[in-house]
Amino acid sequence: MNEVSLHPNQIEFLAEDSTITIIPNFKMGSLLFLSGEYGPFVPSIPIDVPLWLAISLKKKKKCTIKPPKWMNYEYLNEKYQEENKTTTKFVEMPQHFIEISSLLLSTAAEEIPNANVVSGLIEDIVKRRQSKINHSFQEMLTSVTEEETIPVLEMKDLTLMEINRIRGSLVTGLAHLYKIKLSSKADGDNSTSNSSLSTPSFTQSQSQK
Amino acid sequence: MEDEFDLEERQLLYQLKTLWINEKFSPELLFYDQVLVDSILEKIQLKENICAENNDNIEHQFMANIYEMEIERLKYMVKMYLRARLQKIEKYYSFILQNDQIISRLSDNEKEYCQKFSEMTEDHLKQSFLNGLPKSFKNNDKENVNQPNTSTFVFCQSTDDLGDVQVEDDQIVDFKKGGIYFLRYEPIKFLVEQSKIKLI
Repeated sequence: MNEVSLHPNQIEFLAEDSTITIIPNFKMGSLLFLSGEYGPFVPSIPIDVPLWLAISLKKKKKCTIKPPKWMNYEYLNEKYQEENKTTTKFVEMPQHFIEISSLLLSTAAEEIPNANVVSGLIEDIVKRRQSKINHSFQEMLTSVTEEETIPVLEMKDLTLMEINRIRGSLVTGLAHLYKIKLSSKADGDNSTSNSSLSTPSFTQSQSQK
Repeated sequence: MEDEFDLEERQLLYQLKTLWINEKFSPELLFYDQVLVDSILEKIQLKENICAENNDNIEHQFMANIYEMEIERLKYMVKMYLRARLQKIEKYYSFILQNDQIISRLSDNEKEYCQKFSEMTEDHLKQSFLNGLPKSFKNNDKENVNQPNTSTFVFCQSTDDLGDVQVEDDQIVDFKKGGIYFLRYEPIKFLVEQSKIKLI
C-alpha cells in the first residue's frame, strides 16, 4: 500500500458519509448511527441518509435516490464556464463532488436527468481543473527554485481527491528541495556570518498561490 | 437534549476520521487517543449486541443488516488508524524506545508490540550477519536509527480562524477557517496536537 497518499477508494469511503435524500419504498423505524439519527422511513416520503446507506438500499431496490441539487446541467454548466474564465483560481465546488457524482452515476444513473450530459460535464470540469493544477504547480516550482525559502501555498477550493492526486510528487519533491536549500543556506551562512538569521524580514509574509 | 446528543454523536464520527487521517499523514507518531478509540469500540459492541438479539424477526433482521454495515465502516476506520500507527512503530521502533517522551504516546499494547518487535529484529540482525562481522562493527549503532522526518511537507486544513502564525523564519501565515495550506509539518505540529489544524 502506498504510504504517502490515500487510495482513491478510501477517499470515496470518506465521501460516503455525506448525506443525500432518498425516497424509500419500505417502512422502518429510525436508525441511530454514530453520525446521527435517520428515519423513520415511510414509503414515498423523502428522507436524508448517509450516501453509503442510500447506495446499498438502491442496490437492493429499496429506494430511489434524489440527486443532489448541484447534479444538474444548469449548475454544472455554469461552473464549467466559470472554471474556464480564470486560469489561476479554482471555482468552489461542492465537497466530494467527484466521488459523489461517480458513485451516483454508477448506481443510480436512471434517476439523474440527462445523466450522460451531466457525466460529460463533470469530466470536463475535472479535466479543466487538473490542467490548471498541473500548470500552476509547474509555475510554482520554477519560481520556488529561484527563491531562497519555499513559500507556504494556500490552495483555495481544491478538493481532497485533487489534492491526493498531486500529493506524492509534491511532498517528496519539495522535501528534497527543502533539504538542498537548507544545505546551501548553511554553506552561505558560514561565509557571511549569521546576520541574516537574526534579522528575519517580514516583507514576504503572506502566502501566495 | 436530543439535539445535544445528536451533535456529540456526529462529532464522534468526525473525530474518528480526523484521528485516522492525521495519523496517516503526520510523519511522526502522534498521541494515542485511548478515550476516543475506547468509546468507539464501546459503541461498536453495543450495536453488535443489538444485531445479535431477536434473530427471527424479519424486520429486525433488515435493520440489523444496516447496522452491520455501519459497524464495518467504523471498524475499518479504527483498523486503518491502528495500522498507520503500527507502520510507524515498525519503522522507527529504535528511535521510539530511546525516547521516553515518545514512548508515552503509545498505548500499552503498542508499547509491548514495539518492545517485542525491537527484540526480534535486533535478534534477527545479529543472527543473520552482525555476529559474523568484526568486533568494531558488531554493535548496531543506536545513533544511526531511522528517524521520522518532521520537516517534510503536509497538506492541512485549519479548523478555525487562527490569525497570524509564524511558520518559517521569514513567513507568517494567516490561517483562516477551512483554508487549505501546503507547508512543512514541523512549524504547525503544535497546532495539530491542539486539534486546531487537521492534516488532509
